[in-house]
Amino acid sequence: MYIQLDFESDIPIYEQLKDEIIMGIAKKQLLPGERLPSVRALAGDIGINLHTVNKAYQQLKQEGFLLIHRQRGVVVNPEGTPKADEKYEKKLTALLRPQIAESFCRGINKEKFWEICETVYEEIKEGDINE
Amino acid sequence: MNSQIIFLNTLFILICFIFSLTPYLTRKTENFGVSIPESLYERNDFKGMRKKYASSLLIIGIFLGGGLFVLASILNENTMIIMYTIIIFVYILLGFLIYLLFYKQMKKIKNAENWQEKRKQSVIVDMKFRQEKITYSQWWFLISAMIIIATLVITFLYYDRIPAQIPMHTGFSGNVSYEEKSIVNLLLLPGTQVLSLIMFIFINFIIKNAKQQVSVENPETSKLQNLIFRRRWSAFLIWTAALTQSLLLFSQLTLIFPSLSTYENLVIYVFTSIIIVGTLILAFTTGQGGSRVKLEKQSDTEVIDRDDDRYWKLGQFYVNRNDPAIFIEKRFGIGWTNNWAHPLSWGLVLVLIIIIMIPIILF
Repeated sequence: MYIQLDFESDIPIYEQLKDEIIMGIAKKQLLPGERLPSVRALAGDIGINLHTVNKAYQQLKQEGFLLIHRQRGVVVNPEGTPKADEKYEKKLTALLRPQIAESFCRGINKEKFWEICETVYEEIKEGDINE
Repeated sequence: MNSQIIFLNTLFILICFIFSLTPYLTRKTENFGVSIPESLYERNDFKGMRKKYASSLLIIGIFLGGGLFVLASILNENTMIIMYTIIIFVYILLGFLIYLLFYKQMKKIKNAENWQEKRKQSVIVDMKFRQEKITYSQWWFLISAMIIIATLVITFLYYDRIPAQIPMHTGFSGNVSYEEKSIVNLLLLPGTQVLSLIMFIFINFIIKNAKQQVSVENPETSKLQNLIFRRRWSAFLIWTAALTQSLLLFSQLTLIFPSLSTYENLVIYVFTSIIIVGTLILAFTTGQGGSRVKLEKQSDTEVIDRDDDRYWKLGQFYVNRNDPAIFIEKRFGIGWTNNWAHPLSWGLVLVLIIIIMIPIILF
């Protein structure tokens, strides 16, 4: 499973890293219980500071995607990602609100917006066929 | 002219050969230490540069090699060995200076042409790379360890039969000086065996842990090439270690059974030749990072690897404070090098110096 990071992007590297790992879990390219490279190994392979990788891993741990064991290292949460609760729904709504507002301004109607959501959702559900 | 000089001169020519052809062995994303889009590797002016570099180094090599043969008929053996070392040093230095000319030229071309502009620079990493079989197990070095144990066992079993005076070689010159037999003298070769085995195990460790380098232009192919590259060198290392230990075992046997020493030169030539020819074959069939391994390619021309030229001083020395990786593939040449911004790199150099000094101080 490959992760690709864009160093010229405005999005910080640790956020890109988080997004890529979450995508991998969503597409079932990373399965529950599967080991991820250690902070040091991953930072070395990418060529970035240890803190950057650590930050991404720690946040993913807090959000329930990963477990960090002292001996076994970093693993994808074996019980799967915790199900969405009210708090998460609130966060999601808050994240979507500005995006919907921008689409609205640019004249993307409801149908078109649904269509985009549908395409992305299906793409994730089916996993990446090329992998 | 004795056979040793002929052997060393042949060795010199082989070294020249591999030095001259280095630009053809690197990854196709580099030309003279400067990173390029893979699609430009076959450009005519780049091809011309590689050809010029190779021919000038070959000509210098032939010239110096010829000089060595002439000198061998004039000078005595001891001076010859010193000359030989000097000439190899001169050759490497000249090679580096010529490399620098092409490196500068490449930088100029790169600055003028702005390849990165239209492409998105990114880094790609396989999250499951470390789960792959990257190298062969360190347990394979048990073969070498057993040869060392055999050396020690034979030495002590036959201790009484060993002549009171044992030959201690002074360099390559073939002049033999004799010394009183002692435990310390007899442990010199097994000691060398142990140190060299530790070195081989450590190199295998480097091959396993060196930075993962996957190209964004074709991730799947470059990853496979990289795995093949590491596995082949790992296997080669395991057998080279066994050969080296056997060679040292043989040298020890000549101390115990002096009659064997008639074959000593022959055995040294055969073993060294196997190792050198093996290295050449492996270098040319595999290439740096597996770049010469033929695999089907997918090619994404929208993206390009992140440009890290600024971390490669003179195109050959990697200095990157933000990179926690210590070992990384060489840019120009075959094998691996260090991240010189990592303090451990300097620690390792120190350890290496100490290892080299031990026999000099002790004996």
